[in-house]
Order: sequence, then structure tokens, then C-alpha cells
Amino acid sequence: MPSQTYAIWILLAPLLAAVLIGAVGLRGLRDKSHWLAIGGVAAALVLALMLFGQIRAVPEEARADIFTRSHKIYEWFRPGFGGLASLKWFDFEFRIDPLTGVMLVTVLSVSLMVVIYSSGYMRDHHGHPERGYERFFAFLALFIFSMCLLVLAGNFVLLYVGWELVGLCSYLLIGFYYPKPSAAAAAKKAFIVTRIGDFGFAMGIFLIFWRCGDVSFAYVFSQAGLAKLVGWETPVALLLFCGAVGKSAQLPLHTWLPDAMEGPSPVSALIHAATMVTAGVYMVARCGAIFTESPTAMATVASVGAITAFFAATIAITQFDMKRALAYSTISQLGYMFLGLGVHAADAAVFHLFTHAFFKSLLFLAAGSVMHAMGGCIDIRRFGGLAKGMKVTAFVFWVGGLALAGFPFLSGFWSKDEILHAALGVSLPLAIVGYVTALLTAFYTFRLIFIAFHGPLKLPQGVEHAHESVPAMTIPMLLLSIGAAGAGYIGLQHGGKLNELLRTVLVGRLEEHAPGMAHVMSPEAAMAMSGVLSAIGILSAWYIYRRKPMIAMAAAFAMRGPYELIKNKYYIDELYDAVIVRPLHDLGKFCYGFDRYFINALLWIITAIPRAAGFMLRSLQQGAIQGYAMGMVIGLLVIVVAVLSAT
Amino acid sequence: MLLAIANSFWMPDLDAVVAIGPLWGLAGTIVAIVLAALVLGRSAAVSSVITIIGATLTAWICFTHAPRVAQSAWAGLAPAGGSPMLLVDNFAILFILLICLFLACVTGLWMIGASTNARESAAHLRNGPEFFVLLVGSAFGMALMVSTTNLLMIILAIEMASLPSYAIVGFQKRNRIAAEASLKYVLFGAVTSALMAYGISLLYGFYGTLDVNEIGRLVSTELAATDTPAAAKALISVALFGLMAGIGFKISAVPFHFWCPDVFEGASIEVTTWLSVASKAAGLGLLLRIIAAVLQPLAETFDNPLSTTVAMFAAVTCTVGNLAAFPQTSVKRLLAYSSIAHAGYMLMAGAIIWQAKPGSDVANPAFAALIVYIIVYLFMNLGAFGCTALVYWATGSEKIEAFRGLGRRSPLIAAAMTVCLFSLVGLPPFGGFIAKFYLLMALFKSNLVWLVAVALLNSIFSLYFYSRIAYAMYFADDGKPAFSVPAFGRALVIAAAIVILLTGIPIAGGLIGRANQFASHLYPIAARTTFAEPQAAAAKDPIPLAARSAP
Repeated sequence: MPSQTYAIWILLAPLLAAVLIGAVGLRGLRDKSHWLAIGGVAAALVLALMLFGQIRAVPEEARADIFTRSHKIYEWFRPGFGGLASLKWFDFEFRIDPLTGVMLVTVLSVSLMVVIYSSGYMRDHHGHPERGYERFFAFLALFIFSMCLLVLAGNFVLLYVGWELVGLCSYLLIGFYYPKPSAAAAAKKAFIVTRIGDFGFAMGIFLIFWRCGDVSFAYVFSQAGLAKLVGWETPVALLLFCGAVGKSAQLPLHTWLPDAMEGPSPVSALIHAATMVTAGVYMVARCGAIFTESPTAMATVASVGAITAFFAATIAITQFDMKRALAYSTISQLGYMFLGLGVHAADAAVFHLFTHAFFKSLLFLAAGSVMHAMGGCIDIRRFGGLAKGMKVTAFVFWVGGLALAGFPFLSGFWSKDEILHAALGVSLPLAIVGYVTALLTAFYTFRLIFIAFHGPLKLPQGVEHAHESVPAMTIPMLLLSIGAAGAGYIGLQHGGKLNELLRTVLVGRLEEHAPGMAHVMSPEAAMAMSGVLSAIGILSAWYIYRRKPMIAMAAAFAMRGPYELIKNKYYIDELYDAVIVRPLHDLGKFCYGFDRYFINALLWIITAIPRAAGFMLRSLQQGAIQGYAMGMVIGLLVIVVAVLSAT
Repeated sequence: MLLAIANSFWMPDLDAVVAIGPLWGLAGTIVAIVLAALVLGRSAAVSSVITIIGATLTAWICFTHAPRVAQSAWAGLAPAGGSPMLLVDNFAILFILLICLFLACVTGLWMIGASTNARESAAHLRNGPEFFVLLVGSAFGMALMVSTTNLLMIILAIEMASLPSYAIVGFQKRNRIAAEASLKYVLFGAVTSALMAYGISLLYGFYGTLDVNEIGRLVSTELAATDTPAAAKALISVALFGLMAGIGFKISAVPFHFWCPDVFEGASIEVTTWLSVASKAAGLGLLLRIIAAVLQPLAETFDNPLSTTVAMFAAVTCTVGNLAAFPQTSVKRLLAYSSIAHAGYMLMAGAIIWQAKPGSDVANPAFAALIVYIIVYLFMNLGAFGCTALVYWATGSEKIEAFRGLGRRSPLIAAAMTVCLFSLVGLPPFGGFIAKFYLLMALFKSNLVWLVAVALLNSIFSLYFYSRIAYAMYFADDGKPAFSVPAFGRALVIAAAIVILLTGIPIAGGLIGRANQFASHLYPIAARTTFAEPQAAAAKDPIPLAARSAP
């Protein structure tokens, strides 16, 4: 089967599932709607694995040719036509290469686990589906379709379509509990904040179209396409990066992601940890050919990534809401990925994306399992010692936590280490920020674990005992924990096949750009250092939160100022509110008044003309055939006179 | 002697019989309905099922036929030495396909109406076989309209399409409004037929031929020549406009539109749906053929008096349709005026004179744009009328008030109606936008900027009255109870809405690409010159065009 056939069915399977759930969900079968979603996603996953096998089987010498090809499905849009075909077509085309393959496998395998988990999670304790059960699965399947479209897209316009579709699904799912005001507000915030970034992204695409006259990856990333962008790489790359900043919640557009945790936990796991938020990383990796041409853009990407990583990690330490802490951790990890992209280690960044998808979705699902057991409570101050009642959840949280902390030989260790090692070769300050963040990561992760799962049992009011979740939830978590522990071995730097494969399409290894640049440390030493830092972080968390809980409080008290600052997320939300949101709100009120009193009055006056004409014309249509005949004769006479005078 | 007589008749060979397969399909459907009525007894259900099967089968024949037509030498079927009576090309096949699809949809709508047991469907039920014979008969006439360039056949085809239409408009014999509508329709049809026959007789008198392509060639040489007297030029133009009157009546262009609102209001809603789309599609298909034959060879300059006149026709039709829709309170009547306005938009394509470079097979963009417009328009109107019908059958009223609160009372129908309405306005991301975009683009590139301005202004006008319905559906709830509609009806309008959404963005390019292919089969017709020299024509044209005749 040709690879685009796989791609088409990978897209159609979840789309059909979404449509069918929407169609049958309203009738009786609502209870069973998860089966359609599971079936669709499982089929897509099988196809994606087969497609990935095909990609891997491409012989070395043919790769450069096959992977840069565009797989045209049909002609999509043409601005001109006939003899006017001076403008280019936008085709509905796919790009099928290792990057797409890795993304598809990541997205679909995590999706499958999350969809199965949701069939248990979206029910109450008696096993009855929640309100909007079928809506949830329809949106989830639609999201999976959109995400696959995003990574399969073979040109910028199609990429943008996928990009906006995932944004829409994210909005719909964050606002899933829309009667709750905070959920509705969070959904709106997520949509609007990411749109700010998308505006830059769209401008970048316009710029590319204007310079190259084409939006197909196959052309833009070719020698000819890049030649037309000469002198424009920096603005193009920075505008594209704007989109990535919004979507991947980097500074300064990160504020929507923690609020997005208002959505159901499976949504947080899939969309706001594993897949959609990594779209920015994917996009920058995809456009590596443009980014690597501009040192300014690369430096921007790396610094934004590193600063975000550090900054979000500090906030994560102070959060008591387990999901919010994990959300900041996601922002921080995404920062790592951008750091990797910025230091010419796109393969390491995508590798980290791959491993992160497993362990972070696992952590969110485990947090969801806790939340489910605690009757919707997620504040770690209100429960503790859950490991006794919830063995599976505690176990998978440990696995995910260790992977996130970069504990040696778990997946996060390998990928994070590669990024940090690459950073060492480019900029020492950035690498140091990265290593400090690694320490903080281990600390905040295990702070959560020790407070929530260990120590004396403590339960929130109204919850009698901590019970383990149903198998529909625990089994996907256990499967993901295998991925979280072992995913790193697929892409080991030495002898690993994944990175090698990725490197055939990801442009811009450092060695090519700055050959002979000496690394400060050998790979082994760097590896040892990140292992040690992770162990220090874990041990200090153990010491502070299990042995001497007073230390935490004393430290918080001693550093009241900084602590309050960090705990309140550096007051960035408040700043935006005062500087941007309120003035805009006032402007909106003014515009509303203007529209209501001035424009409406104006419109009424203007439309009076056609309305009066309409009434006049109506009086012609009296219903009497004589009048009609008269009208027709007069009309004919006018035409004849017109023709006679014209000829 | 006997041989001479036999030779004077045109004897079709087997190839020719196969070539007109789609027409056989429709004719066979009529026969099947009659036979079934004789054998199985008069049953409306049987007739409607046969109609749907026949229409689907004919559509399928068209589908399988198209590639063969593109390759084979079928082009004209003519008596020895004469001009071809029937053309078999992909342009005709496309229109017949559309007409058949629409026939099946309208029959489906009729079945829904019959199942809801509304008052006028009772009459239909009693005389089901007659109704469907007439309906398929008018479809057959429309199929003939799009597959001929012979003046006699044009008259015959238009009458074949019109006469059954008059009858089905007044099918509810005891309904005064319907009878009145039918009478008005007949009178208008008669007058315009007379005008058309007059124009055609003038043309035949001038040139001694019935072939439109031949006439087009002669007209263009005559009009282009400097020594032609002005009076002769004027007379030719008048004759051409006589011919146009017949088509103007079918597509309800101003000033031949007066019948339209009354007939649409008087006829039952399935018939209205049928007339609003199929009759217009066929009329425009015929118009395109005539324009390709007559106006196209005149393409010496962009400033062509005939094209300017067509453009003015179009502008006036469009403006009158939109303005007159403003004060309407009945949705059916409003949609009638909307269909006049859309006839105006589509007529604009007729004003585009395209100067193709000699030897290039690039089609006139107007044709491709018009084909897209007709396809999208078919689904928009099917959806809009379908929703109106469902609301009418559920509430007994077709006033705008009946739509109040529909967003709550029947959310899916309201959503489908909204899609259709905004597509009719031409707003993105619906198919109507794409159709209008290509049309305006073609106008713009042909330097008809003033016509673009008229079309845009009209689109703004139309936003007002279309959104009145949308406003009633969503913002003017008067608390009436919810109602349910037949599942099949819901499926029909939702399918129409989905097609509109699909043509809007996802498959827009494929659509215009296909339309372009069909259009290039139509053009350049000047290269075909006459059908008397099959070899010469075959060498020039991508599709060999050979006149088939008995030995």
C-alpha cells in the first residue's frame, strides 16, 4: 500500500469515529460511544505503526529523495484558474518522513491509552457515564484527527488548518464542563492567548507565500525556496516562532496552560501535556531549514526555551494544585525542547518530545486517578499517604516521576541529557540554566509524590477511603508506565535507530554548523552529572517533605517576598490583566456603544434605500397578469432600444 | 426509389444508440412508470420508487459514460448532411447528471411530504403516476436542452421541459392559487416561446441554417465586417435577443421573471424546489452553449455590445431579485426572489468574453465558474427549500414567523438552514462563497469591474433578508413547542448542508479543476467550425468530433 493511503486512513479513522459518535451518540448508544473512539484510534495506531515501518525500511541512499517528497492527495485550492493560473495551487498534500512517523506514533499511542482511560474516568462511582459523555469522545476523536492532520500536513496552509483545529478542540475540551464559570473562562483564555501567537504564525506564512510564491514544504525547504527567503529568514523564523510560543505555552504566552487544567484530566494528559502543546516544537523542528539559517532566531528559541524552563520550574515548586504543578512542569519541559531546538539539537528535542509524551501523560492520568478517588479534590494539602490505598496509581506516579526527574536509565534521563549535552556545546549559561532546572524538576516532582502518596493517610472531607481506580483506568496507566520507563532506549544516542532516522530529515546538527566546536564535557560526564543532579533533587525533596517538613515552611517564611512572588506566578496574570485585558475591555465597551448608537443609526439610514426600493418593486408584482405583460413589454423595449443604440 | 426514401431518414447505428444512453435512461423511466401503473395499478409509492431508481440509474449511466465520451468520437447525431440534432459531450453529461441527482432528491422530498400527509400531497397521492410522468418528462426536456445546438431542437427541448412543468405547477386542481400560478406560467411561457420562435425564424431566414455554431460563425463575420449596414447588425441583435427570451424565461431573468414569485408560491413545495434549480440549470446550460457559439467568436475586443447587454441584463436581474426580496414575509416567496437574484449572478458569467490564445485549450473561466456555481446552487437551494418544506409540513406555515425559535425547536434543521442561507449570501466558509469567488474572479479578470461591484453590493443587500430568517430562528423565540421531522427529511437537508460545507473549503480546488475540464470540452467551439468536416475538426480538437450519419 502506498504511504499516502496509510496517511489517508490514519486521518479518516478518527474522523469517522468522531462523526459517528456525533451521529449515534444522541440515540441510545451514548453509553457505548467510547467503543467507536477506541476502535478508530486503535485502527489509526496500527496503520501509523505500519507506516512507520515503511518509513524505516526506506534505504539510506533513497532517504533524501523520498523524505522530501510531497504526497499530493488532491488539488485543494487555486487562487487563479483557466488562463489565469499565474498563482500556485495549494494542494491537499502530505509530508511523510521520520518526523511525521514519530509524531504519529507518539500521538496515537498516547491517544489510545487516554481514550481507554477516559472510558473509565468519565463515569461516576456507579459506572454511569457523565453528562456529555458522547460529546467528550466525539471531541477527543476530532482532536486526534486534527493532530494527525497537523503532523501529516505537507504545506503551511494545511499545517495551519490542523493547528487551528487542534486549538478549537482544545477550547471545546477545556470548556467541557462549561456550566462552571472557571472552565468557560479558562477555555476562552486558552483560545485567545494562543490566537495571539497564531497571528504571528499566520503572518509568517504570508511572508513565506509572498517571498516564495508557494507554501509547500517540498518547495519552501528546497534550495530554490530557501534562496528566495534569503535576507528574510530572521523575520520569517521569528514570526513562525510566535505561533510556537503561543501553542507550546512559552514565555510570555504561557498563562493559558495552567488554567487549561480546568478540563477533564484525560484532556490535560493528552492535549495539554503529550500532544497539542508539542505542536510548536514539531513546527519549529519541521521548519529547521529556515531557523538554522538565522542565528538570531536560533538564539531566541534557545533563550526563550531555557528561561521558560527555569521560570516554570520555580513556579511548580510552590503550587499545591497537583495538576497545576504538573502543568508548570509541562511548560518547563517544553522549554527544554525549545532549548534543544535552539542549540541545533532538533533530534534531541523531538526525542524529548517523544519520551515526555509518555511520562507526562502518565503523570496526568495518575493525577486524574487521584482526583477521581478524592471526589474531585486535587489540592495536595488536603490529602496524603495515598500509596496505601492506591498502589497502582502510586506506582505509576513513581515511574512517571522518576522519568520526569531524569533519574538514570528511565526515558526522561536519556532525552534530557542529550539536550543538555548539546547546550553545553553552544552556550555555557544556557546549559547551566538547564542543569539547575533539572535539579528543580527532580525536586518539585518528588515534592508532589512525598506529600500526596507518603506519610500518614489524610483524606479530604467527604471521602471515606482512598480506593484504587477501575481497570479501564489502571491498565492504560500501566501500559504508559512501560513507555515512560523504556521509551528512551529506542532513541539512545549511541546505536539508537530513532535519532539516526530523525537526523535524516531534521536539518542543522551542530556538527554541521560549527564543526570543531569543542564540548566542555564528554557525553559520559554530562550524563553522570544529570544523573547526580536528579538524585540530589529527589533526596532533598525526601529530606524536606518526609523528614523535616518544618524546613519547607521555615524557608517559605524566611523568603516571604520571593516565595509570594513565585507562588503567585510572578504576578504575570495580574500584569496582563492590568496592562492588556482591562484596557481592551474598556475599548470593547466603547466600540459597543459606538456600534450600537452610531453605526446602527447609520445602517438604518443606509438600508432605508434598498428597503424603499424593495417596497416599490413589490408594488410592481400585483399578481395581475396584465401588469406583468406590461412590465415584460416595457423591459423588452428597453433592451431593444439599448441594443439598437449600442450597435 | 425505396432506397432514396430510406436514405432520406436518419437511421441511427448502434454506436449512436449507445451514445445517448442517459437520455434512454430518462425515457425508460417514463415508460416504466406508465407500465407499472398499468400492470401493478395506480400507486404513488411505486411511481416514486421507480422515479428514484430511474434517476439514480441514469446518473450512474452518466458516470460510466463520461470517460467513454471523452475518448470516443461521439459528438453529433444528425441526419445526413444536416446539423447535429443531439450533442453527446461531457458538458451535456455533467448537466444530465446534475438534473438526475436533483430529480432523485426532489422525489425524496415528495416522499417525505406524502408521508407527513399534508393537504396538497393527498392530491399527488391520488394521481401519483401522472405526477411522476410529468416530472420525469420535464427532466427529459431539460436533458435535451443541454444536449443540443440545433435551433429546432432548442424549441422542442424548451417546450418539452416547459409543458410538463405547467401541469405539475397546477397539479392540485382544486387549489385556486395553484391553478392561477399554472395559468400565469402558461401565459408567460407562451409569450416567450413566441418571441423565441420569432428570433429563431429570423436567424434561419438570414442564414439558412439551424446550427447554432454555424450561425455563430456567420454572425461574427457579419458583425465584424465594416461594410455591414447598421440596420442589419441591429436586426441580428434583435433576433439573438428573441432567442435569449426563451432562455430568459426558463432562468427567470428580468424582465421575464414576473411569473416566478407567483408560480413558486402557488406550486407545492417539491415542484417549487424542482423549478428553482433544475429549470435554471438547464436554461443556463443551454445559454452557455449559445454564448460559446455566438458571443465567443465575437471576442475581438473586450468591449462588445452584446456582452455589455448581457451584463446589464444580469446586473438588473440580480438587483431586482435582491431588492424585491427585502419586504417578503413568506419564505417561499423570498426564496423565489432569491432564485431570480442568483439567476442574475449566474447570468453575469454570460457576459464574460474570453480571448483564448489561438491553439490553446484553455477554457473560458466563466464556464468553469458557472459550472461550480450551478453545482453549489443546486445544493444550497435543495437545502433551503427542504428546510422550508419540513417546517411547513410541521407547522403548516411558510411565513418567516414559522421559523421563530427553530434553533431550539429543531436544532439540526435550523443549523442546516443557516448553512444554506449564509451560503446563498456567499459568506465563507460555505460553498456559495467559493462559487461567487470564482465567478467574481473571472469577471474581474475580464475587466468587468463594474459588474463585480454590482455583485458585491447585491451580496450585501442579500445578507439582510437572508439573515432575517436566521434571526428569526435563533433570536426571536416565541416559545412554541419543539417538533420532530421525518428522519429521511433531516438526512436530506443535513446532507445538503454537508455538501455545502465540503465545497466551501475542503474540496473547492478539486471542484473548479473538474469544472475547468468540462468547460474545456465545451470550448473553443469556434475551432469546431462545422460538423461537415469531421476529419479536419478532429485534428484540431482534443475530442474528435464527427457527424454520424447513415451510409
